[in-house]
Formats: sequence, C-alpha cells, structure tokens
Amino acid sequence: MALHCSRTCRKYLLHLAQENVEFRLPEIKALLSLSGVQFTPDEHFDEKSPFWVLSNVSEEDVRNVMKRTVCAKSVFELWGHGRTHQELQLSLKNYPTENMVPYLKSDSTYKINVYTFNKTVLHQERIQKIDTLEFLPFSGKVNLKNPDHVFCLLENYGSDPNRIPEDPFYVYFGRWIADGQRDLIRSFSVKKRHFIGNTSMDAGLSFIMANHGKVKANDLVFDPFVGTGSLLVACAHFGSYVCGTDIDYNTIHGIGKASRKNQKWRGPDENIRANLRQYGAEKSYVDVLVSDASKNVWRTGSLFDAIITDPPYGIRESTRKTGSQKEMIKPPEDFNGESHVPVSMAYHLSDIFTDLLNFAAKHLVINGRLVYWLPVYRPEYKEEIIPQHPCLKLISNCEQTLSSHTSRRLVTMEKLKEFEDADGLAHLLHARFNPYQGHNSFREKYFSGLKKKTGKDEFKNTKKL
Amino acid sequence: MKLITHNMLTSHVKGVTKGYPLLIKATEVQVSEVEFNPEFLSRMIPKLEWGVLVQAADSLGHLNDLPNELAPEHEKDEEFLRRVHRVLLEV
Repeated sequence: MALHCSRTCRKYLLHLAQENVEFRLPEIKALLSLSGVQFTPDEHFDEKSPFWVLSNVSEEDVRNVMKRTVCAKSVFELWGHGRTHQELQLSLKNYPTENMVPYLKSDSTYKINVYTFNKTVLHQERIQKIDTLEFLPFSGKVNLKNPDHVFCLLENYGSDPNRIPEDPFYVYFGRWIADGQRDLIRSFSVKKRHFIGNTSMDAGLSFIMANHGKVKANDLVFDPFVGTGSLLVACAHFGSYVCGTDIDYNTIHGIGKASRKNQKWRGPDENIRANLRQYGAEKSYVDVLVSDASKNVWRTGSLFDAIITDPPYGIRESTRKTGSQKEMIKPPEDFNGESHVPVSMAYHLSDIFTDLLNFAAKHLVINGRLVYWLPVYRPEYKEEIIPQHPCLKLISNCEQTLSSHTSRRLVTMEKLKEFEDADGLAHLLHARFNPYQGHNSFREKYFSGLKKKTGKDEFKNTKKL
Repeated sequence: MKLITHNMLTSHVKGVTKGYPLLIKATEVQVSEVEFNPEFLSRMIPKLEWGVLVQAADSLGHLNDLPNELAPEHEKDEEFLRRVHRVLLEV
C-alpha cells in the first residue's frame, strides 16, 4: 500500500525564491521531465506564490529536482495545510499516521523550524506556534544542532510588504526533504571567476538556462556565441561536455583589454578552459574555436544534445560576422585557400536568429533543446514576434526586464523533427516564421529611449546587456 | 584542437566542393590526459564519422590500433573505449 501510494498520495511543498519569478515554472517543469514526470499543479496553484504544492511525484523525483534547481530553495513532504491554524490542525489530523510514524520514533531526534514569508516573527511567537503542534505524536528528542528529521511550519503573509496582515493567508506543515542549489549562485559568482568579459552571464541565470535546456551528464552542448563561456561553465557543472565558437579572436585566446575594474589587460591563462578548471570540470572541455556563427562549420548530422547561447545584440558587444565588402560569389582566380583575410561586417539581429534557428534545426538531436535570449523593445512586444521554425516547438518564453522600454526574453525550443531543405527557407515563405524582421532596429530604439530619459537608472540597466 | 572537434568540422568557404573532412596540417601534436568516461564515449561513438577519425588519427601518428570498422559490441569493450578516448579527447 505504502509503495503504491508513493507517487499518487503524497504531496510535496516547494519553497521558491522570489526572484526570476517567470523563470521558475519552466525550470521546474524541465527538471521534472528529466525524471520522466509531468508537472501537475493543484487547484490552488499560483505561479507567483513562493509556495507550490506538487502532486503525482515521488520523493525521489523531487530529490532529483533539488539536485539541479536554482529557483527553488527547499522541498518538504506536505503533512498538512490550510488557510488558518485550525484548518492546518484539522488537515494534519487527517494525514495518515503510518506516513508520520517512521519519522517520529522515540529513538530519533528532531527539530521544528518556523518560516514566515513577508513577515518577521519574534522568537517568543515562534515557540508559541510550535507549541500548537503538540498534538502530533512526536516521541523522539529535540535536537537543534544535528537532528535526524527536520520539520517546518511555513506561513505565507502575502506579497505586499506595505500591508502585512496580522494572521497569515496560508499555512503549511511538512517534513524537510532537501534544499535546492541556490548556493551555486554565490560559489559560481562572476566576481570570483578567473576569466570574464563585458557580457559574462550572471551565474544564477546560466544555471537556469542549463536547466531550461535539460542539459544532463554526458550530453554534448554547444554555444555559438561563447564569449567567456559562462553558459558552458554551468552546463559542465551538470556533467555535460561543452564546446563553443566565437568570432572574437581576442576573447577566445584570452588576450586584450580586461573587463575587470582596476585591471588593464588580461593576464596569462585567462581562457574558458581555465574557467572550467576553476570549478573542477576541465574534463568537460571539448574545444572552443574562433569561428563565425553565420557560416556553418559543422558537418551535417545531429551533433548536439543542446544549444545554449546568448547572442550579441549590439549594445554591449557588437554584432559582427565575416564577409567582404562586395560579398563575392566566386573566389578570386588566384585563390589558394590561405590568403583570404576575413573582413567583419554588420550582422543583422533578425539574421542572427534565423541562422540560429536553422542551425538548431539541423544540428540538434531529436528532443534536443535550444535556449537563447531575444532582445525586445517592450512597447512593441507581441508574442508573435518570437521567431518560429517548422522543426522547433516553443517550450517557454520568460521575460527579464532591463529598463522601462527594453527587456530580453529567454526562449526555449525543442526539436520535433529532422531538418529538410524546405524548412531552411520557411522564414521567406511564411510570415509567421519571420516576424522578428521589424526588430532590426532594436539597437536604435534602445538608444533612442536612452536619450529621451537619460536618467541614471536607465544607464545602470545597460550593464545587464 | 581535439580530434572529436575535427570530426565534426567542415569548410564553409564558398566554391569548395569537398569540404569534409578538413585536411590536417599539424605543426605540433600534444597529448594531454583527460578523465576517462565510458558513458560519454558510448554515446559519442555512434555520432562520429568513424572512417574520418581513423584517417585523422593515422595522419598524426596516433592511430592507437583503432580498427577500420567498428565492432558491433564495442561499447562493452573497455580497452577499446580507452583507446578511442585517447584519440578522441587527449591527442
């Protein structure tokens, strides 16, 4: 009976961090699907709440999620919940005793924590709240330092810090199971990283991207705009093998001006391999090449399990591709394959995304994921502007606001079918495969908005790009 | 560059009809140790152009006794996987 119940009867309470709110659901869904489980929300599910109740999952499934998530703080086995403490008590009394007993034995030690969201509660009150749980059949000893089992009473006082109610809106009680990987955000902080650039991705977002991309051990992951490899560092941490390309010779070879304050030039050994080594993932390093993302240098075939990338938008890093002034069709007659010096030329944003989607459609394995950022001029944003591709299905699309008029959206797509020649031209035939066209002027709009406001806050926000 | 990467690269120069595999002109050949991971290798081997790998390894003098044809049950042969590992990730 207990075994049969493990996936269906028990519920789990997920406690999430209240930042990157839009990124949380796609992350949890992706991580659950890695265990082959679907996310099934209960009837009270509220995406913006810090507490989610998961059903139809096993303890093992949620443990696997917690090994990866940077959005969730902890997970609990939910024993009872309600709008008031009376409702909680009632619900706890209805919870099957046989599910509690293994954790309340007399030879075990325990402790009870009280967590309040959006309210600070004094120690005295906390003790009182714990005392109301006396009716539970605890028979072990309390041990605050090193208990065998940890229980938690969680109270939600809503999300408005200016109007904090006397009593909580909702209360939960459960057994603590595991914490998420929020620590990674600090331990992988860009501040302490060996090699960084102007647009190195924030550690938390890098892990979120790797999770959205369902990157797992022994995958081969590729980033066509690799820069300093922040995204590869996150992917390698989850055990995948990584490779990348970038058009900027200086970045790939780790030379030139430093991006750090008070440091003029990059030091020796500032490269992506050294970054991976810093986090003990050097074995995951495949290769990083100087190459132009607009020219395909990969042979045909499904090579990559995931493509995770942050294309340049021309704000903090320029968008360049190789080419020549006249865009020659034929090589000159004396062409011997070595004398060609590439000239860099403008690379239009909409072309970047058309190329990226076609590349993903060609080189991802079936069910492999593409994760990338799309810059958006907010007043003009409509969901239809997200580029589509006949081989790729849109999985999620989450906004990170950069300023009052600009934002970037993290787009996740999954490959459905193998690429056929006609698919590569779909963007020319069907308007819906290329609606991003008008957004070539993102850069102009970005700066026009800047000039109008010229507020200091606006300027600070450009840092994120 | 590792031979695993070489195996996946082609030429994008216009007018080149036989862009794959790229010819190797090695100025220096280095061998550096990388942690051995049989799971990754068994997933990677089916994706490789085996003939190209053998040819490339041979041209660098690191053939490491790789056979011209893949044996059917190669993923169970750890010794074989170790030899592939050397050629693919360490040369």
